[in-house]
Amino acid sequence: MLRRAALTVAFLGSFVCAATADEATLTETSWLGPDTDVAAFLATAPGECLRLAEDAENQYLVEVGRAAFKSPFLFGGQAARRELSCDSCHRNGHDNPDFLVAGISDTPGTADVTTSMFSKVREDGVFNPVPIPVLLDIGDRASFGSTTPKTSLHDFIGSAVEEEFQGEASSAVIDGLVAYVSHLDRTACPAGQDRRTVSNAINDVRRVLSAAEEAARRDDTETAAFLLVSAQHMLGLMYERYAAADLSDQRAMLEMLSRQSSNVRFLLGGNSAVAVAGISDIQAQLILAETSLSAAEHRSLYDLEQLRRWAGE
Amino acid sequence: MMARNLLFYRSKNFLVAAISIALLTTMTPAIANGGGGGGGGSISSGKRVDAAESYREGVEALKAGDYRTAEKRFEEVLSVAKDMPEANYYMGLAKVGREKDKASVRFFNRAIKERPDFIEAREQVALVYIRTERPEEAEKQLVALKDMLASCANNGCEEVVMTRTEQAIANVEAALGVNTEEDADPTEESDEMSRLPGAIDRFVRLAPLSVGDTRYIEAVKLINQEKYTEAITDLYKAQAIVGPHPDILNYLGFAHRKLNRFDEAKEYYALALKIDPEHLGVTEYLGELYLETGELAKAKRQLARLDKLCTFGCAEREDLARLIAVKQSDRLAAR
Repeated sequence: MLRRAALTVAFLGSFVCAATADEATLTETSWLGPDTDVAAFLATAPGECLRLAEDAENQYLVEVGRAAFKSPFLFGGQAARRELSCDSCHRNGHDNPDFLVAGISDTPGTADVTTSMFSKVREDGVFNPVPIPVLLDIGDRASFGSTTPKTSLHDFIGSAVEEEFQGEASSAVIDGLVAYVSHLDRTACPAGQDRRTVSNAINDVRRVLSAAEEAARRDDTETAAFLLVSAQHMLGLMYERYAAADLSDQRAMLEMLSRQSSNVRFLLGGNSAVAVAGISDIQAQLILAETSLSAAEHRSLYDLEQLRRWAGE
Repeated sequence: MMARNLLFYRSKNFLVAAISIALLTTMTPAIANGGGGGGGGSISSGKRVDAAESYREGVEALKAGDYRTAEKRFEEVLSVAKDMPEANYYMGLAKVGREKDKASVRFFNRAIKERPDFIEAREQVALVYIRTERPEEAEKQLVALKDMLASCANNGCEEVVMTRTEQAIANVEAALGVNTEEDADPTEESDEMSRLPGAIDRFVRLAPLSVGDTRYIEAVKLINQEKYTEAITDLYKAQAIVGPHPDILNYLGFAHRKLNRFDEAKEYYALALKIDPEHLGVTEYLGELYLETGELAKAKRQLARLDKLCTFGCAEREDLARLIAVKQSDRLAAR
């Protein structure tokens, strides 16, 4: 079964692409161990323990960082090509006991952060995966990281992005990541797990687009472009879940939204008001699309029963 | 000499073929399943012939003695990767299994043409020549094998390669009826193997697919460390197990490109795109190759292709776009 094959840890990709819901390949499953309860993983996530930002400026930075945390475009090299993001290992800032990638992990929930698989400079010649840490409450620490310890969270995140994952993030994006991680606070944890619904997914896209709009307003074209392509990626993850043959309208909407986001990227650097207007327009289109996407949710792979059937459970 | 050898080794009274890979040290081949994950990334539709899958099925059919199926599967593989030495070698074995000795020759010879140090292909074609009463051709292979052994002794090579070459020479000499050293006492079974087709499955034992994955992963690590020659060796080993997979071919192209072997790189990219025309990595890296050869317009066409393929954005598109922008900026600055 193709979907199960995608869950194995082997590295070489299958290039035979899915055409039906049963054959859908969800990107996130490519870094899960074989014993993962895939349906449960895809239906829920650990609650996001995000403390409220102190002011509008911090709120903006947190939103930029939150988007970057979930974006594979933060990274370069193999990590980006495998569509890995910070969130792949640290789900909503927690760990990920199901994470398993050949060449990186030995047991689920571990990762070798000193391997040339992802890094050009950190290879230590030893396969030494370590448990993926939880990132809550780390903002006030005096030292960050054990492999290459840093005295500031900014330096630690910057070096992780650039050295560990060959990323080339702007300083604004790194500032955003620092703000986001600093606001991950156990006292802010919700009562239960987050449900991964289409409504929540749309809300995530909306937040990224809002941050992009603000970045464009500030003439920070680099950050705005990064956020827009990150929004495109989120739309792609939604697209994967609307794989059933009779959900072509929903897929077309998501494609259109992504194309619009891509088009707006080309407007950046010119008249920022035009780019801002373009992003506002995508937000409006997203509201329209939400009705249709929500109505079809029970037939999509956001639905737990559909997920269980798809996962062969 | 690159260690992309198919190694056979003597197990009691008969020969067992094994693809080298980790066997250079462990010599414990086994069969396992694998696959999935990584590689592509974007969403596309439609199904294609999976040459790597055909390759695996062909090897399994050979092992099961189902030579007709093996023939079909390797025909599929060769339709997209006609020069792949391992596929040609296995096709040769399938032909021998179907008692089509004469038809097998061109496949063994193509394997040898592509990889002159392919011990097993030289051995098998020599045995076929002997069965088809062309001992003079078998002698030529014997000479080549002896040259390889001498080169091995003079220049140094892995012990298992030397042993395997010695065994191949002994087998061919025995089939030719050449008296060799006093202690040369070809077993009854190996003598039989040299004269009769069939029971080819004994010549085929493929290392686990997971070993292919491991070699691929090691190759990617080596590429990140800019050790391209070593990476190519690992990629060849991975390909010998996995078959012609676009991810492997993509990195073969990449590593050759980094060694300034642009023509070979292009060939690997072309082959990968023949198997998977929508492969994002190949599309990007071919664009990078064009940038390196000063063909900016062609690089831009690759970028346009990625724009079309990556509806939801992709790292490959972003990287190529960045490199093109740098190149354009450099050109402007140079004016």
